[in-house]
Amino acid sequence: MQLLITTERAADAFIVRTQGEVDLSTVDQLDSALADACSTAAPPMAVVADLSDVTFLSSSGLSTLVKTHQRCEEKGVPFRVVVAHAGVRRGLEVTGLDQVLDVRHNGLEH
Amino acid sequence: MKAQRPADLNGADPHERLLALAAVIERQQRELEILSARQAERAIVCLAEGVLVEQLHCTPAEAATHLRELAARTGVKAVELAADVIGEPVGAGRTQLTGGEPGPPPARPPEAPDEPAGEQRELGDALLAQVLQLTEAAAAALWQLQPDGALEFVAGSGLSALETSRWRRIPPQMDSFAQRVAQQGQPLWLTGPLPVAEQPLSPWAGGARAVLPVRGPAALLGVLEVVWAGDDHAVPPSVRRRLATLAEVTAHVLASSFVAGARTPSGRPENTWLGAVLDSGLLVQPLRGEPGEQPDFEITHVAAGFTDPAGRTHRQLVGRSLVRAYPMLTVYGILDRATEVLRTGVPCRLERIPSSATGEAAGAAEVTVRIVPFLDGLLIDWRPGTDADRLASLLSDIQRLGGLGGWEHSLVTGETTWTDQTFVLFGIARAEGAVGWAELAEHVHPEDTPIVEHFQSTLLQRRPVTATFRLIRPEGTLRQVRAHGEPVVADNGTLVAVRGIYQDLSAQYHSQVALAATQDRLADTEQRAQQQYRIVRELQHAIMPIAAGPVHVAGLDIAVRYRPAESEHAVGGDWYDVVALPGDQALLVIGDVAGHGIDAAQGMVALRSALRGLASTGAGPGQLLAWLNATTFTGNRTNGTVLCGLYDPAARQLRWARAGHLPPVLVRDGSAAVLAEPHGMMLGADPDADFEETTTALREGDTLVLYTDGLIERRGVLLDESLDRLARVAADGGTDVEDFSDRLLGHATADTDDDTCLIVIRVPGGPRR
Repeated sequence: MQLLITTERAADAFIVRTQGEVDLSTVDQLDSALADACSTAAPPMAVVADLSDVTFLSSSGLSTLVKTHQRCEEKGVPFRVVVAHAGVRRGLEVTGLDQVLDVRHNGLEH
Repeated sequence: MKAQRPADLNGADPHERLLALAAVIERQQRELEILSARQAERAIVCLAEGVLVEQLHCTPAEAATHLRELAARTGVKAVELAADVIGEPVGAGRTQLTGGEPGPPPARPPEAPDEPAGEQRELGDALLAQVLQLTEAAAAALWQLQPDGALEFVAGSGLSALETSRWRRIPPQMDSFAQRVAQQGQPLWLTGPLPVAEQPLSPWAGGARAVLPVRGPAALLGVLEVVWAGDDHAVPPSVRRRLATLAEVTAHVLASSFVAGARTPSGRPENTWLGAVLDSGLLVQPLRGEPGEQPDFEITHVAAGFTDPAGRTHRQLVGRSLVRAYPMLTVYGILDRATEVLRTGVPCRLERIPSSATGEAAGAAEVTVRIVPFLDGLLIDWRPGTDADRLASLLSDIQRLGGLGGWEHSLVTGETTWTDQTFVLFGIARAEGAVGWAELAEHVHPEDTPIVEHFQSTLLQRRPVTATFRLIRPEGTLRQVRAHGEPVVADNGTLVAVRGIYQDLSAQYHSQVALAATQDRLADTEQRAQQQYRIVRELQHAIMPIAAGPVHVAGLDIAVRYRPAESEHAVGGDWYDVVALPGDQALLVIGDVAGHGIDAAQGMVALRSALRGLASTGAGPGQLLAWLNATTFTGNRTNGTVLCGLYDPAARQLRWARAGHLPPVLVRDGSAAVLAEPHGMMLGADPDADFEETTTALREGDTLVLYTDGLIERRGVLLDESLDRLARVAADGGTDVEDFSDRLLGHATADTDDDTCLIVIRVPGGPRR
């Protein structure tokens, strides 16, 4: 499945925008992009995973978010996740990640 | 070519080799106290000759000569070698003396008494291993207080076999920290170096230690001692609190009827199922020894297909140290190489080892010893060298000594690729990338630039060529290099690439870094990857066997299904566990570790054993998950979801908690519902996470389904819809758990490439449908 990832640098954050489906075949790309963003960012810059256009986030994708959270914590870099799709939001809810990650909801309802 | 002799090995100093052998013998000497008298020495040599006669089927004169020659060759006294020979346990069917009478006892400590296998003791060891991980300590031991006031060793972790043996029983009259705590009932927290007179547990005399009383409801049950490595290590208050809690719960371990006895690393639960996976070799794990001592390894498992050349049984080998079992192999550097493999994770081969070093009396003259990392230990194996092997190793010797690095430049993509050796030669890190074709001349001595240009242009004219020039490394030093090159032409005649080798002609080159190993690795990579996946698959089957029929635990009928991922390479992290705990309770677990491949498998094995060990404390599922979560921050950096339940058959209640995992489906009286999700996030996200417990009362005829998301996940379908669909399919499941599971799998609409695991649990009875 296709996954499109772009990373842009804003004034206060590195934004990793992802579009498509995150599953076993594409999760490594997301992991690399987030890892690169973490290693480049320095406080007070943040790393933002913009998953608004992600239509499917597998358990491996959720695990990548956890790893990114750990990496950012170690550096003192804030990490935010933006989601829109109901399925993705539910995934974060079941795993309880919405309690530990900084999750923002992008107004669009799918 | 002659066989390698200790003195010639890799050009090593003969003196060093002797020292190595002397160190080996020193170990043996601990057992020689009673044999120090002159008369005893003579008797030893006679005994040894007798043993050799038996093993080698030679005459006494030949045996005497053999012993003398060995002594002369190695420079070690005949009596010491003789003790070594006698120290080997005599194989089945062999007598110790030619006279056929039983001789004096062998010069080694008596073996641990044979103990019946017990899952409870394995749980105790596993629990202490978790205590170590959760407190970042180095060693721990748990003793049980006996009616006569002695402390009997029950379980331990991080201790050598020697330590475990020495501390097996502490009589009441022996002053020790453990006894003091047992008698006074007060915990001891110690830091800093201890006075010489104290004889503490473990070699870390300078480390912090905690000696804690373990209390039952009515009386003191035993003592737990935990030691940290490193002088002046200060134990943080949070760890102290955690340890105090853990100490209280180890009381559950002592309260069950434990058989007292020593448990060495060879008793670890994982090792009992490795027999299904390994077909040959020895599995060894590192032993922590006295500081300054040579590192040693303990043989923790002997594969079914392994035959000891000296004829010892597997039982006789397990639990022994590698040095004591194969002292001659240590002379050939096996310990150093094994330590290196453990550190780097890169397998290695020791070639041209005389087979006599393994104890082989007859057969192939030489063997190749392979050392391969396996989980957290090593697999050591040897195969006889054949002629083909000998030729191959001759070739690799030449390459290694020659110091060769490979290179290739593609004219199609413009990319240059190098082998590891070439990076070493140029003094450039792999991360910086190979030097491109056009930039090669920049790395060469200015006077030699024309040579390189000629080399390159000749290749482009499709002619093979050799040239010698001086390479300038980043730090400014020069290397004399001979470059060989050849053109690579496609079928249609186009020149697609040029490739060749660089040969380091400098005298400084260290033959340790071998291109042969690199090239072997490249060639074997694909094969090894296949092998690794096969091993992981076998591991999964071994640790999570799918029983032929339903399992009955705590009065429940249980069926398990595990369906691995479609793709050969996506070896998943789904796992389950069903354990009968002391007190008739059952532990039911299902989990999904993130990732795939070896790392996921390792992470999963670690979590599973951790949970088993911790469950033996009798703690509730919420606490178990909290501890499990803590382990993902200290050692095992995995993350994933878990659902953990404790079933009490007397009350017919399931007490459960979840770490981010999907909730179970309960089927009752023909209708099914997904249970409400108690609060609890996936492992590895928050070190302070807590996990809400829920109790679900079960009735006769109830069926509970635990599953992983691989069963239901479907793109484009929201989770709750998939759960509802699962519930509908489950509602018609029927009363037979095996059929039920197959039905669920059959109706699964998942479209992911993830693996799937499900556990169907039924309380027997109830109305038949």
